[in-house]
Formats: sequence, C-alpha cells, structure tokens
Amino acid sequence: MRRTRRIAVALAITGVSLRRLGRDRLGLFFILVLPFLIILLFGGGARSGTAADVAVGVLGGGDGPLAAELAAALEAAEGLDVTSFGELGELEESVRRGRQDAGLVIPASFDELVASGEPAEVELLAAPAGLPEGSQGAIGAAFADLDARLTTAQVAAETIGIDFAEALASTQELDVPGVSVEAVTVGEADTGAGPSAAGNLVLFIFITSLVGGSWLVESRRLGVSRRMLAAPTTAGAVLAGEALGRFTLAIGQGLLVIFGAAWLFGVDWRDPLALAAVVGLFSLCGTGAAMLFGATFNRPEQAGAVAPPLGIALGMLGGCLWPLEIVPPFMRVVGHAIPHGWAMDAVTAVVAEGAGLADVATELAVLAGFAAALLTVAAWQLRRALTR
Amino acid sequence: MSAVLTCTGLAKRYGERQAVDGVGFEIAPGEAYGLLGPNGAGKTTTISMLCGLLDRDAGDVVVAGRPLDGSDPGVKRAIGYVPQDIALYPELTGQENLAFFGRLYGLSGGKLRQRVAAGLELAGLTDRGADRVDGFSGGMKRRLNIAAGLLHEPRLLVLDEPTVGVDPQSRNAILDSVAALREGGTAVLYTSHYMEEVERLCDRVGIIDEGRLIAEGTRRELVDQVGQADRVELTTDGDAEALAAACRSLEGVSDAQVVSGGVRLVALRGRSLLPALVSAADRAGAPLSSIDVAEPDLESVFLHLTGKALRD
Ligand SMILES: Nc1ncnc2c1ncn2[C@@H]1O[C@H](COP(=O)(O)OP(=O)(O)O)[C@@H](O)[C@H]1O
Ligand SMILES: [Mg+2]
Repeated sequence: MRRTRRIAVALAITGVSLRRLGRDRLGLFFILVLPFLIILLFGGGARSGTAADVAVGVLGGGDGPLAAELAAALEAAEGLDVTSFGELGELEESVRRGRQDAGLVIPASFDELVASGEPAEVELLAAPAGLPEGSQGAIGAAFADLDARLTTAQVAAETIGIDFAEALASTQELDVPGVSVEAVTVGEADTGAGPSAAGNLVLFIFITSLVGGSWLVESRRLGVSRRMLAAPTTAGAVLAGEALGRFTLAIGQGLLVIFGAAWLFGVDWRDPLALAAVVGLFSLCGTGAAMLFGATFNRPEQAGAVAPPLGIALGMLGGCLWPLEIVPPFMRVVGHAIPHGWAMDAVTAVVAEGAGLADVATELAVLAGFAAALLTVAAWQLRRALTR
Repeated sequence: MSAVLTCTGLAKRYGERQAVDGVGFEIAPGEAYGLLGPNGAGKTTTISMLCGLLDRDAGDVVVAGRPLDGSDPGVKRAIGYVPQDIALYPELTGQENLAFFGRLYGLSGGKLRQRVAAGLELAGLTDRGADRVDGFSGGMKRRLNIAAGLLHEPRLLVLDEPTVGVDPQSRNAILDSVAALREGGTAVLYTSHYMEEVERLCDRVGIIDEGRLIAEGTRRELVDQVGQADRVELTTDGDAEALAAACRSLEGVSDAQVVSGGVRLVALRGRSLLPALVSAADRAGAPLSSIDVAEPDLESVFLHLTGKALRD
C-alpha cells in the first residue's frame, strides 16, 4: 500500500515534468525540430567538417617501378592525403570508421599485371556515407598520367612489335590494358543520413536530458521541489519521480530521432534490440547527468543557458559531430572518458555493421557503469541540495 | 486535548551561523500560534524543520502524537505547508497546480476534483482555474499558494509569511480565510514580521530573534512583560541619532531606536514624560515635528526585549 502511494507520487511528479514540457515552445522546438534540421543540413554525413584534404588509404602495388610511380603520383596529387596500409582488413576498418575517406586496393603484383597486358583493376573503397565530394576526381587525376603512358606503350608494342615492357620503359607513352578504378562501398550504402542520424541520436538524447535538468533547477528555485518534500512521501519517491521524468524525456527524444530519421531520411537502424539497449542505457546516463546538473546549478537562467552548449560540447568530444577516428589519440581518450564515445561506438557498430547485442556488449557494460555512477552521485547531490 | 504539534530543542546551524537555537513550542487543536520575528530571525528555518523539509541538527517534532523522524512519512499528512516563496509551476494552470499537489497528498479521482474546486474557490479563483499561473497577479498567486497547502484538509496549517508582497485587499482576504479555517478547528502556525497580522490572528505568540524564542504567551501576557511602558514615536527633521541619544539619557526610557525619520522608544508612563522629551529634543538640536504615544503592543514588546525594532 505504502509502495503504491510512493509510485503514485513519483508518477505525478513525472507527469507534471512532461506537462511542463508541453507548455515550453522553445523546449519543444529543441526536441522536436532541431535534430531533423541538423540531419537535413549536415545530411551528407558526420564528415562534413573535413572539407580540406581527402584522406586516402593505399594498400598493395608491390615493389615494381610502376607501382612506385603510381604511389608517387598519388602522393603528389592535389587534395589527397595518402597513408600506406599493410593489410586489407585494417584499411577496410579505417574506411568504415571514417578514419580514411577512401581506400585504394592496388593489386599486389601491379607491375607484372600491367607488363603481361592484363587489365589491372584497382579497387576504391568508400565508407557507407559515400565518397566525399571531389575525391573521385582527385584520385582519377593521379591515375591519368600513368594510364596515358600505359596506353601509348600498348600501341607501340602492337604496331612496332617490340616488348611491351620495353616500350613502356623507353617511350614512356602507352596503354590499353589501362588502369580502371572501380568504386566499392564498404558496408551498406545509404542516403548518407546514417552517420549523421547516429551522431544526432546520441547528441540530442543528452542535450534534451540536460535541458530537462535545467527545469529541475527551476523547480528547486521555485521551491516546488521542497514543497514536494513536505508531502507525506519520501525523498526517494520525489527523486525517482524527477528522474523518471528526465528518463522519459531522453527516451522520447531517442525514439523521435530513430523513427524520424527512418521515415524522413530512410535510415536503416538495423538491429532494434541492440539499438534499444544502447539508447536505454545512454538515456539513463543522460538522466543521471540531468539530475546532477539540476543539483549543481542554483540559477535556472544560468542552467538553461548552459545546457545546450554543454550538450553540444560533450557531443563534439564524444564523436557525435565527427568520428573520433579523425581526432588525435588523446582526444579519442577524452571522448571515451564520457558516455558519448561509447554510445557512438555502439550505435555506429549497430548502424554501419549491423552489430548485435553481443557485439556491443563491452560498450553496453561501460554505459551501464556510467549510468549507475551518475545516478548514484546525482541522487545523493540532489537530496543534499533539497534538504540542506 | 493533546497538542497537534509539539517541538522541543530545535537547532540548525549553517556553517558559522546558528540559524535556530533551541526553539520549542506547542500548538493545540484549533489554536493559532504566531511566530513573530524580524527577517533572518530563523522563522523559515524553524518551519522547514517542522515540516520535514530540512534535516535538523537537534530537537524533536511530534505531530498529532506521532514523531516526525523520517521513518514514517505519513506523519506529514497532518500538516499543510505554505512556503514563504510562491511554490507553483508558472506554466501550468491554477487547476493543474492544485491537482498536482493534491496527488502528492494521496488525493485522486472525484475527491481530488472536489478538493481542487474547493481550493480554487477559497483562493477566489474559480473562474481563473484554467488560466496559467504566470498570468496571475501577485495576490492571486499568493492565494493559490495557500490553497495548495489546504487541499488535503490538514489538522495543522503552517503559513510562512503568507502576505509578503500582496496588496491590502488580498492581505485582508488571506487573513480572513485563515481566521475562518481556525474557527473550523484547524490549528495554525503563522509566521510574520508584521506585528499587526499576528496580533489580529493569533491566540498565542512566540517572539523569535537570532534563532532563539525569547518570549511566548498570549498578547496580554507579552504586553504585561513590558509593564506600564508606552510606545512613543517621535519624528524630527533634525539629527535623529542625537535625538535618540538624548532620549536614552532620560529616566524611564527603556530603549530608543532610530527609525526612518525619527526615533521610536519605550517609556514608563510615556505621557508624563512628554515635556521632558520635548526639551531633550530641543537640546539635542532636533526639534520634534510630531509625537505619537501608543499603548504597548507586540512591537514595543520586541523593542523592550531586544532593543531593536521589528522592522526598518
Ligand atoms: N540555506 C541557507 N544557508 C545558509 N544560511 C541560511 C540558509 N537559510 C537561512 N540561512 C540563514 O539563517 C538565518 C535564519 O534564516 P530564516 O530562517 O530564513 O529567517 P526568517 O525566515 O526568520 O527570515 C538567516 O541568518 C539566514 O541568512
Ligand atoms: Mg523566512
């Protein structure tokens, strides 16, 4: 009986938080519209910030002179930032994670292939978000020179009847088998909204939580929170009600981004169970952070002004706006010192690779740890803030 | 009949500051008890401990025979708490606010609707119940704030300076409705730094200053402590400090305090002292522009006990 009373009190508090949200136009705009505006604006992917050089990972080629020439041409090419890779798996992973914008897989025996007159096929790997604008042109240009010489050598070999390799070496003008570049996407290609939607999912769950936390500061400031404690209930029930309100808000924001991105931009979120686990645990992290936020600030205007930028800053650190693979290792560590880095790893794995629950178990465990720690500290701090 | 509220030895320290220091009193059913003291005296802190909002350093609170110690939150159902600041959600309507607080006290369904309607009526807001609270005037908010503490029909109503910042009309309405509740058998704990309100409303008064209860009793009992002293108000265009000093040197003046535009003092047989006061003022170079002698009241009791004015 007493327990059902406490639950009724907690639910009344949760209900009133959500009702207040319904009256807050600016808050509603933040929650309902802004995530989609951002996906729309940055729809090309999470990478829109790196307009400078296109990062290309290169694998294979062997140690013949033509391979070396090709490597030199790529190195010298305008707008390309070339990194050598030793293993295909490593290159694929890098491209998928966005560390490289594209990958070039050159056949290991490039020189022999060309010399034998076989067509040498170079594979171009692209991330699910697709190739960055202009990258295909820059890569193609690097091949053009070699391609032209191969054509000429081929013509010479056939008309004059000399050895192809000799022709290539002596005339330095050639072709026919040529070098063709074929684009292959690593992972599933989609509209490009996927990475952006994943980042926004994590970003907005947290921003919304913090905004919810700033309303808590207002409740405290108004004295409504203390008034709640005057009611025949426990501080625990009051805290649970406030927490449940923030959790509902976070989950609601998550569902909105998930379904909204699926309907509006055709994002395929893949494994729903794994996604639900990540969103649920990350929302709990958001709830804990919101309660801590609500206990820390004393002025609602201040809290309200700090919440969105703080949420965005944490999102940046955690890889919501660009992948952590492109930041220095130290910043990658920082990104994983907050829940965002782990949530991003997990959501990206689910969306880009179709990872299931078991594949993201580590990330889920870390998120659960963050959630437990944040909620415990927050409950303690908030109780203190209310009854001190 | 046993007391609705008994508290003893309440204490609370904020850092270096002993905000409440050994406060204790009792309130009987249907009794209105006034806690009178200047700003910062410790009234809100005392009330917060009584209502279980604030962890107390020491002391006991017994409400309707049951100890308030955190083990049984149900004890708090006997108390209706009206905080000093308006504790309502501005973006919700009057009705929604009342319904929320009603739910916190376990009301639901038809009973909740009935009590919310009664609350709106008591606040004089029946036709504004569907409007958002942030559109209300200060007085309307104050009245709704009180109604929110009354939804569950508590045996003890605790009001913390409920008339701060309201127009005289709302103030009268508030005082009248509290008086009506008391007539109906509800015990009332009323804090204020307005002597007139406490005099008008309360059966017994506790005077609190610097965290201590320095006197307690009915108005009559308290005033008798001052003896035959009268309260005298002098106004002057001259040097009020010099006037106060001159007054203090007169025999029979127990205290003289500078207030805006003059001096307030307590004097034995104040009327017979008037000629001496006038000449003292002239000597001090602060000729009097008016003299007002009043029967002793709680204000003079406070002045007598603490040497300070309740306000100013
Ligand atoms: N939360 C707090 N932290 C520190 N000091 C406080 C706090 N609340 C009240 N005080 C101090 O305690 C004293 C009593 O305050 P309060 O009970 O609010 O007085 P009153 O209600 O009579 O005006 C004051 O000196 C006040 O400054
Ligand atoms: Mg106060």
